Amino acid sequence: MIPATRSKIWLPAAAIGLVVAALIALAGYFLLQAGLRHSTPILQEATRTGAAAVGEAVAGQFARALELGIPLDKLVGVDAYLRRIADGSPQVGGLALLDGDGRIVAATAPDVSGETFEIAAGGARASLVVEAVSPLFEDAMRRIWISLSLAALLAGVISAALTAGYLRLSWQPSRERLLRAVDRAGEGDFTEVAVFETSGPFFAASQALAGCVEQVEAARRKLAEAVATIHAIDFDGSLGRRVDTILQPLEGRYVLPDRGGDETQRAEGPAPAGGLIWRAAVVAGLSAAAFPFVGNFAIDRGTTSLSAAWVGVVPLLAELLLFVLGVLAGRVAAGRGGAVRALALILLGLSTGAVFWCRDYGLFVVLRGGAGFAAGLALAALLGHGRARPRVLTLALLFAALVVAPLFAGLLAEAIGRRASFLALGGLVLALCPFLVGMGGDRAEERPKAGAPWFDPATALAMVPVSAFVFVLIPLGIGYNNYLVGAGAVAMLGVAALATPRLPRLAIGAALGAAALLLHYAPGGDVVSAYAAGAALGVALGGALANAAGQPRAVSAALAAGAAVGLLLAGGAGQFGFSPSLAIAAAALLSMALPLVTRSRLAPAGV
Amino acid sequence: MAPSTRIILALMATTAAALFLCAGLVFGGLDRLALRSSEANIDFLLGQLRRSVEANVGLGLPLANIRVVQNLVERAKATDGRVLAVEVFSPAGVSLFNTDRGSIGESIPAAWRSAIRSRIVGDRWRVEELGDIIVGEVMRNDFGEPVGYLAVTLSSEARDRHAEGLIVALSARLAWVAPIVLAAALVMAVFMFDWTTRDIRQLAAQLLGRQAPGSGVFAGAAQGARSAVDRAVRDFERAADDVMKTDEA
Repeated sequence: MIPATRSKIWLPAAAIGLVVAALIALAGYFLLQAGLRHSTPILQEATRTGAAAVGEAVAGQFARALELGIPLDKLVGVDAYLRRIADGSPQVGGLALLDGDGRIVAATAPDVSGETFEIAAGGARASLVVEAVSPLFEDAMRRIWISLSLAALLAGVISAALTAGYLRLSWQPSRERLLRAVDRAGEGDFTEVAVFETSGPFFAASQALAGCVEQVEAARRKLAEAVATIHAIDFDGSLGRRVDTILQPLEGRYVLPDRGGDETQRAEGPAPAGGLIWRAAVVAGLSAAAFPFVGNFAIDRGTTSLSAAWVGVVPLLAELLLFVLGVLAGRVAAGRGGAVRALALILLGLSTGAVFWCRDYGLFVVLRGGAGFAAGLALAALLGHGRARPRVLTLALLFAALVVAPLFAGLLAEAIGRRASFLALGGLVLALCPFLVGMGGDRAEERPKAGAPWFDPATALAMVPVSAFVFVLIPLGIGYNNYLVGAGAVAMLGVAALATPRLPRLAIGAALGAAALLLHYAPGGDVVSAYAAGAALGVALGGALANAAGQPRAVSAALAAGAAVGLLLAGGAGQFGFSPSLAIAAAALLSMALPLVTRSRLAPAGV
Repeated sequence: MAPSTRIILALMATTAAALFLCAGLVFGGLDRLALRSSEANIDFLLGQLRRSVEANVGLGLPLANIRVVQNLVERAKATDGRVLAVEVFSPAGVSLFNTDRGSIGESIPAAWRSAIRSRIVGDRWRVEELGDIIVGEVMRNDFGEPVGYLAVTLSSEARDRHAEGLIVALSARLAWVAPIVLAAALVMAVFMFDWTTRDIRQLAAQLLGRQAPGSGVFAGAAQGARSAVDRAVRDFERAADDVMKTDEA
């Protein structure tokens, strides 16, 4: 890396992320104010109406007692009755029964104030005070504020990631290449071609350099013409010897490109990987954004053909199986990349969006299978035709699928609900299709090196609990009908995975063990434990992936196998009543024992 | 299109999407609040009705034989104008008492069955169907076993009015907030990318001889390249002149 460019990557990325987050937060504030200006009077009126209905009904009960000649002070259990009414009516904060002189006969609190309902029957008078409150309002406001903050944060993080990705994967290579070309030109070597771009400042600088080279070439052409002229009249060879003496000092001093014409040269070789990586990340993110809804939607559609434990798991298993088939089909279809990518993305968009109209469990399984096949096909067609950097690609996919996707899904569900979210995700895929297909030509896929491992057991062992956690335990646990809370646990996992460097197997096993303990001993539905378990699983996955960096084939196979086993374990746990945390603990033990059982070639050196 | 232009457009698209997401979040949150408020308003009605029916069940009578329930459901409907229908049905899903008397004996819709099967929270279930909201409760006997279900159908007219007004209010606010936010994000992005490529533009200007050497990573390299170019041109031209002079000599 050129000295002093690191700050030129992270500083703009952080600044743009912060500015976008702040702008979205401000916009969210103004939008909420507009919404509240419209809604508050209506909601307050609804609360008052509800409280009044309760007041009238309760006052009617006391009037009936007075009609029957029962004095209010002789009524038994009035305090408990009023408290029960207040507890059962969210819009009622408190109730107080007063006698004809205004003395409190019974009350849920000493200082109840609000609308008064007169009670007059049997010659006696009394009154009931009903305090209208809206606890729903405060809860809803808290949730909206959290959602808006997360939306601002997410927009900032995505903007920062886009900026950093562009600067790291496009700007920096172009900058380094340009500097190398200029440096070489300074040494008299004018053959280096500057950048890939066809417009922009790098292209302009490259053209300026080409213009300089052209001046040198023009001078060299003039010399060549002079030499040719002398050779034409050199009948005895004496002139040639003198010319050679003149040319000798220039030989090897300057290197010029060997080309005809004066067109600007473009760089050859592999194009920067940025385009492939962001396209793959967007496809993976949009596909993964549907995961929090799948189990919940499947259970709602229901089926009598399967036991309850498998209803939410089978669509995911079908999706995974067809995803793998899609990947294999995408590799076979190499050479028709553009068409395959377009078809796959259209199928992905349609399969995802069509769930909006789906009322049948079987059809839902088919649609999710179609989405899985399309996602696998699209990713294989995208990544099979370029030379993406495996580690950067892994990080980008993790970021998209495990950080952005769950948070986006959670926010989408808050905004428009689960069913419409499928439609929105499908629509987004179709809308982005022209950008995701890409214009680049196909390149031959890089063949794995001979003897490269085909499977990484450590990654597979880490993926087993991650799969059960992300696909089943969270969506059908704390994330059931509360997608934003579930999204937080998965995002924790993603962030931890991104931040984790290479780890010894023992540490990976310990992280899995910690996750197993947290899930086993924490009370059901405890959000903090789930988040901590997510972070522990993320450490295990991130460590395993970092250890296996540079071996995409082994990692891909391990992730697919681990995901399948994780889903089967989650389903089996529901079916046979064993705790999924036991399976995670088993994975932890196996992970720690792995180096003892096999001297894997994947064991990282030095860790 | 230059990569920096593409990334600026992507940032604009992200910002625009986030704006719409914020509007959606405000709409979704307030719309849900309106819905919950409507539901809360019938909590009392639902609770009273359930307790009355359960009290009769507690006397030992089978639910289907408690004729007074028909009067209870009709009276409950009459107390609140937003209530479109009140229904009591058996665990098998057959309507036993209904404010729409013609529906007695019919099976409940599949969506209700699905809600009862998988979406009961604290003995309460809810379904949105054909624009109306159905809120139900489980009725239990003294042993805690379900003996039937209660369902109140609420009109969504008030909610729809609220939602329409909310969309108008948010659209009006978005109409001036969105351009300002997008313009600010654009200015920031253009400034940042301009900053990151400033030395590249200076390099181009130096190579073209339009600007004196400055400072920075590229300044020395540019000066070296320019000097090398001038030197090479000079060398080739001098050599060409010398070659031509060989004939004169």
